[in-house]
Amino acid sequence: MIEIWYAILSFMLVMFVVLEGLDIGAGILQYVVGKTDAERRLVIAAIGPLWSWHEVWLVGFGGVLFVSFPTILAVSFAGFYLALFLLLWALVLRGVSIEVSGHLADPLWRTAWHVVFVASNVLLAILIGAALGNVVRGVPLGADGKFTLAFFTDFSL
Amino acid sequence: VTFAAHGANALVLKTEGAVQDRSLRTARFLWKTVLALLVVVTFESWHVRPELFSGMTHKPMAWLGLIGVIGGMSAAFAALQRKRELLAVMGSSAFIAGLMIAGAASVFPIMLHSTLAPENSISAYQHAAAGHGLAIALVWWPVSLIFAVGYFVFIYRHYTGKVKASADTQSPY
Repeated sequence: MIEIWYAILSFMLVMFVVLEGLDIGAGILQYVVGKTDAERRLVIAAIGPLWSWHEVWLVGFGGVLFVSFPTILAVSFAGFYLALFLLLWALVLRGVSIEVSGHLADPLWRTAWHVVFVASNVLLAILIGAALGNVVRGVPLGADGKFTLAFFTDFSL
Repeated sequence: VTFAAHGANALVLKTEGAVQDRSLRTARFLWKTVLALLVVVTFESWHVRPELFSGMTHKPMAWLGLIGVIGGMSAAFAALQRKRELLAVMGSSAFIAGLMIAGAASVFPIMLHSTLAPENSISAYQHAAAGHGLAIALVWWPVSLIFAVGYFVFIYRHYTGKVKASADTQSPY
């Protein structure tokens, strides 16, 4: 039973990272491949109808973790508190920048939101990578089942 | 870098014209970088947790993940050379999925490894929810998955093909 739920949990996370990876990667490259405002909007159009749907798999992952391994949810959410808040902020800012940038006629504001869009995608990539890296490397988990890190990782080996 | 390479593949698939050309050039460059970094990251992971690699040999799912990594990266490289757009995205998806499957299989059953003392690590067997709850959850989860996969198929079929800025669903202009 536990193996089945571990497999389900892994499946949800794999789906999220693979699908969201498309959006994050496209977002990071917005200024690399889009030289004009219309081209940059094309990048957003490429992920436009799909990005919010891809985040559903993250919600599903959280739900499965809550149901199947609540202790791990509690320990990791407490330990990675700042990282998770940054992740939420990045997800919120990414969504807001996609929605708002197309509704503004002022080129300065539109550029500002495009920059927010790219920055939030870069932040998401770093946070997801650091989270997966920490799972592989391990965390300073004490006997009381708690851990804290100065930021959320010290990036050391 | 892997996400950027994956996203570049997606942009090659979904766009055309100058954006597609730039995305293709970027994807070819980034996948070479991913290959180089894969070697570095694999060595670093071995340095930090050598037991993960020794444990891999006994776990079939880890082998499946490794096949995904090698097959996915090969497919992505070949598809980008021949400009087979969908195959490139499938390849990069298999690469990322393979990395994660291999990692998940290797760390199991330890879900959160303690760097202070191995006995502090959190194991899936010791910290899973009660068996009765897990059994009940196995009833509702497939129902949810049917809805999720159904919508997944619908939305991908609905939005298949190349996009145009005028068709940007997030923007009226």
